[in-house]
Amino acid sequence: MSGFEVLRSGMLSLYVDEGRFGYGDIGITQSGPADRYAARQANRLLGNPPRATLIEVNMGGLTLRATTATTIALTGGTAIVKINGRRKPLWHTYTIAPNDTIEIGMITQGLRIYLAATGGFDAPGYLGSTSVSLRDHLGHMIEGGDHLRCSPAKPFPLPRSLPSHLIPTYDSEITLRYVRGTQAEMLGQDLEAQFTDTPWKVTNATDRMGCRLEGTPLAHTYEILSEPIAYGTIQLPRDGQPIVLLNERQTIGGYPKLGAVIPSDAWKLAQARPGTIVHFRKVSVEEARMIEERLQMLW
Amino acid sequence: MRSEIAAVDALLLRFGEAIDPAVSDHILALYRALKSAEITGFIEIIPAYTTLYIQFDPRRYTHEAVASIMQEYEARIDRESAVAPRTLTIPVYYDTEVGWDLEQVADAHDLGIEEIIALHSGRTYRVYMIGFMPGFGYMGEVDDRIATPRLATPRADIPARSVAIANTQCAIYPMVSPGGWNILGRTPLELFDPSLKGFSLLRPGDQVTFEPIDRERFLELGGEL
Repeated sequence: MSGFEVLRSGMLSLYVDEGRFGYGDIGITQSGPADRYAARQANRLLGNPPRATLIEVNMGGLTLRATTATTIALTGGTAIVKINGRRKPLWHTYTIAPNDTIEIGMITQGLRIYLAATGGFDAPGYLGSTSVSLRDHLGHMIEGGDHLRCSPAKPFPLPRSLPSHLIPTYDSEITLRYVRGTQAEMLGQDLEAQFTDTPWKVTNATDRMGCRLEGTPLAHTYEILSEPIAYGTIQLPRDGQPIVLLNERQTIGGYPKLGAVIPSDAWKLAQARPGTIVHFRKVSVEEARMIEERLQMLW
Repeated sequence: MRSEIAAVDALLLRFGEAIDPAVSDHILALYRALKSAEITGFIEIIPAYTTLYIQFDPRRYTHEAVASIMQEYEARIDRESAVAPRTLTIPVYYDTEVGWDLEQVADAHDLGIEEIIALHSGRTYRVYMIGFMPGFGYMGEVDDRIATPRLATPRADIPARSVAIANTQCAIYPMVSPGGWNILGRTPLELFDPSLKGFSLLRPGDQVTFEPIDRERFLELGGEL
């Protein structure tokens, strides 16, 4: 079998592709990489199709031994990453020979690192996607002793790395742009203004499902009937502490919504460690579409 | 129909403000028509009580374009014979052995357990929407005579396939889950499994009836105690 042997799985390492789409009506979450930007760039560095399966390493701690020759790409948060004991920078491709070891240390900036291999990993698929969904109990969570299968590939003649202006920094203070949502009007202008004028802080309650923020509460008394929710949705429970919903969000939710963080920015929150300061900036739908189009042009 | 911005790539259509079977009929007819049309660039189509959500490919559509497609379909479902809802009969073993709240629900309404079973299985329910977890259908309406609020303290582990009610809503838990609904019985049927056709036994818009079965039949059908 060609691929990689898992010596240590780390805290939480998962197969991801772009996500599981079209089953929201039967309650299936979309899942996929929490940081779509870093995942896309990892596949792109290798010339893989965007849907190719890669590994999302949450918090770090993954150690692999190669059983094949291939080229890999590493992107995402900051950690000490070693190949055969030698430190290597991320956002870069590396040719791998059988028996090479790849060690990803604990992530100190950001929360997630992506490891892609040429041609993608051959992972079990469920409902058209290999993405693990912890919430829906779909897909395979990587464990020590697993063998991650991928086809042998000719080494790249030259290593590739991402131009520095395209490498994000996972800062301790971030600004997220959002489009105004369905209940913003009902919640009122004062509350909306307070939402954009005050800083928010990422709490410990942050995972692949969503991110709970804390700050001066925007308490209200509105209740709504449950309705479907989009990626990046900013929910406001009655305690006035917003929750931004990410990849493994529930498909339907019953809290009023201020809007939705645009996909080009939502990944920043998936890499935001507890304590990160978050600012929100409202943009028009037209502006949001332009930002999305610019990002699409990168791929 | 009012269209609202849900995200840069998603539209939420609103058809009413309260749970209403007539509103739901309209939403579900529209949902079925859109699903069967398999429109390129419509990524998710999710119905709920009073809303229908469309996630679309923003490279193909604007919110306005999606809204006008929806208006076309709205006119079409009124004109043409809509895609009919499916009807399902789900066997349920109603007994205190698996229906942990049967007695309490009966006591709360001053009824016998037999009457609770008769009232619960004596009508057809509509699947308004699926959410909370894969395959968890929100069904209604439960007869007012047995409607019971959620438990004050939710249970940590409701067994898979438990049939339960909360106020006038009814549902079946597809997998073990925490929950606060009142458990009346258990079905032997699998609710959600990637090997099921369509993956979920229930789909939005289905018409569901419950058929009481005894312990022996429950076990024969593969029911687990």
